[in-house]
Amino acid sequence: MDQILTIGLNGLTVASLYFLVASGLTLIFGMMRIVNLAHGAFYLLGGYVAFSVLQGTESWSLGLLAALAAVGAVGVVMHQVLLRAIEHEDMRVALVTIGVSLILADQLLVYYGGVAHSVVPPDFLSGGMELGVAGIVYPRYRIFVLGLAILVGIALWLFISRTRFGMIIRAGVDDRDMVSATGINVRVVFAAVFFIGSALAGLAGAVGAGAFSLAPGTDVEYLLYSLIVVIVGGMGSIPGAAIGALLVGLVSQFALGYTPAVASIVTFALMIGVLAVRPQGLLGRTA
Amino acid sequence: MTGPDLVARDPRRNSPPDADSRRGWRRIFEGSKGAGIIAAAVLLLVAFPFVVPQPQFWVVSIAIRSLWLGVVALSLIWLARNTGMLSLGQMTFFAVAGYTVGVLTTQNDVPYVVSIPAGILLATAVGAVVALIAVRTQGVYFLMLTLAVSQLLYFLVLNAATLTRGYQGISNITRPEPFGLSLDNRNVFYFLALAIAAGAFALCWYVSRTPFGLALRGIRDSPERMRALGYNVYLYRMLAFTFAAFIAAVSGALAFFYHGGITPGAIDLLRSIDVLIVSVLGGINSLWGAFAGALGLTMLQNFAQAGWIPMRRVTLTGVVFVVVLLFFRGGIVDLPRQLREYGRTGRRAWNGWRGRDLGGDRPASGRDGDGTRPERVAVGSKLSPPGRSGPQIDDGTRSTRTGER
Amino acid sequence: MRQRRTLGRRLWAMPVAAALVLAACQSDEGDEADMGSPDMDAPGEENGEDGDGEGTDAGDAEGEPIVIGRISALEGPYAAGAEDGERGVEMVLEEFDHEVAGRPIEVIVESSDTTPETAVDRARKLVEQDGVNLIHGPLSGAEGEALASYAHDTEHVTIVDAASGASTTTLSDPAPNYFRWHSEGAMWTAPLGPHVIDELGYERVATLAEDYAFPHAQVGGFLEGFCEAGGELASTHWVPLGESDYSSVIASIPDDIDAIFVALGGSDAVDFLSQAIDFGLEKPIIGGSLLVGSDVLESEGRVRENVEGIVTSMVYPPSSADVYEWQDFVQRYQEMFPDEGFETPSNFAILYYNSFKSLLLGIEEAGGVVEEDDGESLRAAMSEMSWESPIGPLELNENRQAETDVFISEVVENDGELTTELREVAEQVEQPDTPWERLDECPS
Repeated sequence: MDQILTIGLNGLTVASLYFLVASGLTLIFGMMRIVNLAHGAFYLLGGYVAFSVLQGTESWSLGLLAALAAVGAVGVVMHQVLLRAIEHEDMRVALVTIGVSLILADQLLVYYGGVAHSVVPPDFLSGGMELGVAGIVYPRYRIFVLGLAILVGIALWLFISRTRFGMIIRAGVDDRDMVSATGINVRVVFAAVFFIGSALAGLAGAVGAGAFSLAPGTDVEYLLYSLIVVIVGGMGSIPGAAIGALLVGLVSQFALGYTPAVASIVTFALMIGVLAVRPQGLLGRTA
Repeated sequence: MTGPDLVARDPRRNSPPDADSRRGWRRIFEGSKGAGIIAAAVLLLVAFPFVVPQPQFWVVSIAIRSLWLGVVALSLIWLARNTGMLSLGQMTFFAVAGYTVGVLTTQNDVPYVVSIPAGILLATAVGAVVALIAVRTQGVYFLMLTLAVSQLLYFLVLNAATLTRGYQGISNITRPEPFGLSLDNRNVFYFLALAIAAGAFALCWYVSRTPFGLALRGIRDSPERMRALGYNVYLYRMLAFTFAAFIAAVSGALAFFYHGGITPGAIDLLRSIDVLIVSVLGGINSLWGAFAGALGLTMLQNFAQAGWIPMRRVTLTGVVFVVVLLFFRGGIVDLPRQLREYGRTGRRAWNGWRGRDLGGDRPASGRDGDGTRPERVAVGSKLSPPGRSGPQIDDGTRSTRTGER
Repeated sequence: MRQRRTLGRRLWAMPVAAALVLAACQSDEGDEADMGSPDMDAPGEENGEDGDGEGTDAGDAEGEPIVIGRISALEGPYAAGAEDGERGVEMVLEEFDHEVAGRPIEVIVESSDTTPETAVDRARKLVEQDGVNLIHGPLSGAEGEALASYAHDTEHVTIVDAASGASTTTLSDPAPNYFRWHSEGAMWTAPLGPHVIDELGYERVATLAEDYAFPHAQVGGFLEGFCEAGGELASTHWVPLGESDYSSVIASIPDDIDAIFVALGGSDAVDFLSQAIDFGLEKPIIGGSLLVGSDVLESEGRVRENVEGIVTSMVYPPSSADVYEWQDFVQRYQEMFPDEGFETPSNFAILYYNSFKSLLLGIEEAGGVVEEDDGESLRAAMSEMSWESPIGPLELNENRQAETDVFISEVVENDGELTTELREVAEQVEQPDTPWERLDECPS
């Protein structure tokens, strides 16, 4: 019983991290039809930035903020410099981001080497806490990640569905010319979306690095997980990403707990199963 | 989007679908100049192992490697050209073939005459199964799905250690000796690889020209119209995907003997990306591009490693990939034309800058994005009314905007 | 019209791409200055890199340069370890003043990513393109197996293993031109099993390890001695190499065990150790040989707080141990690499050092004859040779495999610093007769 609860909690908290990563990916796709396959490398970059800032300033929250801002900025630069001219060709854009991902990950390996790095959370978040259920003591930090993911999810949803900016974005995707005609600078709006989406990857990296160490290869791992999450949940849908993350997190953790040898296969099988039934993902829509 | 943005499709010549396949080949094969070029190329390829210095390096590490890598890329390019589907999963079938041969022969002593066809057959069958799901998706969805499938297989072989020996993989094989010719001999291997590559190329080229190939391109360009004409679009796509899996499987069997075995490292994500890079580098609009790209990438990686280029191998690969994607869309095979084009544009820009007389023709750098509109309208001639796409962000497959509709 | 517009825009972006390329080049060069070595491609670069004119030293020696191709896992999960290995090689080069048997040494370093394909690719490149007759490498078990099989194809090339630890490499059909101057993975943990029972009193254990050749050997070696001495195996847990999430694996470890044997390395070890604390794994940890190497002890983060008390067996002694010439080696390492190195040399530094020095000693013994007789005299020399390394006497058995001492030690905290302290030395541990596959129960 303890074991099931603990693994369930692991599933939830890992799902939170997957959601943080995947939400940025799905946001950018939903708004701009761009699949950013450098998203995993952005995660890695975020983690390393947070690590360096934490080393330099001894402030964990500053590290988080720096990761958020730096990776967001990198995303905007990538979009403006490399992707804008080919924005309408979604396949070519996806491939360019693969190239960026290769370059970025390789350069990070140069600077940070192969040693595992982790971003040590502040004291008030470390250690375990009593959950009051079945005497389980669970790491406080993971509970924090769970809370953060819920917060980010709600904020994103409100932002897109309830704010004027969100409305502009939705309209801009639909008919850019019309929105431009109303005097709104669509380019600025799209840059903002790219900033937010990338910054989410950076934030996820900074937060994730408190639970799992960063090393070469982490980028591919998180890219794959976020792809699976958004494919399962439906590309472009924030609630879909949440459901996808939850499914992937729980399935992968229970598989890891009970049949660790085939854990990764079970996760992929989940994805293929979902696709066989709903090619557009659980909450995706058909065209 | 069905990936047509990477696959040449001139909007002005949207139909008939067979036109674009004929045009290029006719030009090459008709006329004595073309025949001369072909003859020279064949001669060069045959004489190659006997004339190069350091044959061990040039024949084995460059030529044979380029040949098998080219065949995998060939399967990707063929699929992309004829169906508009860009796959990151060709290494899946490559791996199934290699592993089947390895498991059957090295661990169960099945002779190669049986295990090689069995491997290719099984890989093709796996291709058909993957196709069942994969061809229902389009564009970037298809790309991601095939990528995920290749990763699934990667983890599968990693974990099925009793069969595949996990991380270590299968090694220490004895190469077969067909007709008393040992594949340990590099020239024998070279000509075998050359023959297989030529065969695969001829087959791909031929299939493109059959009514089946024509129908595929018809479906690529306008699935609705083809459906209306009574074609089973799903079935055609599935068959195409399976055929591409077959070609990739052939390469997998060949590479198995090249490496003297197979391990998970040979089929991981980076290798799948390598195949994609090869295709884009060579030129995804032409079947020749597969081999041009394979040669290009093999040389690039070898020479980057040798320190001729002051950049890390992976970084260099990434940079070249991005530069080709942005500036040389036709890849290597189309390089001369693109360079001429750049020369012209450069001159014109120079003249324009000096004379300020062509300003209207060039985009002011401030305006953006709109330049794409004309093409989109031209290609997706049946662009849906705006209302149908819906304003929500969770409109899953609207990427089909210019593709299937 | 449309075509031209896009072209125009692409032209505009051209300088940007050029800048990107430049940036990539630059950062690369900067790296070499900073960190010593992750990207050593150019032939002979090794000579130039140490500064103080070794390049000219090499020129002083008479005769043709002797070219040694090296394959080091500078990419991938063991990059940090490989970098430390490179330091070991530098120490040897300095010791020999960059020449051997009167011939200057030229080193060509190829970087691998710990996959066998890459290792063989790099070996091919070294042999075929650069024409080397000597290869020093690789680092990881799977690479070692692949190279041992490649050795059969290239009989004129002599391969000296750098640090790989898979059992089969020198056990099943060992190649006559493949030499390994350190023990393999199973030998490293063989004395640990009895020690755990006799000295620590743990009688029921679970094992957790990555699922590939080296940990297979480590678990096999451990379980053989452990089960033979009457120990009981509760469960085995295998994870893929590179697994970062151990929370649910930890949850599935049975409660009724005395200790858990953990054979993980690199970033996997860091992740496991930090999560073991978070998730309240209170069982004592018995470590495989890579669990608490210097790279783990010195990695950043909270792991440091959690490794105290771990008992491991390693192929090299703790830095504080006063055995053989070990203290001299540690001191020289610290003098040569005061900043960029680890505080104390890792297993890769000493293994690279021993293997590379063995190769050079062999060349010296063979009178510098390497190319002419396809390595015959070099192989004969190395097979016969023995020498006193910093971690004990080295000589080869009939499989061209060394049987070295194994050092069982414990992690202790000393003035706030984590160090390892020697508990027992098992002398000249023998090579087992059969390679260990993945074990899920006690070997019979």
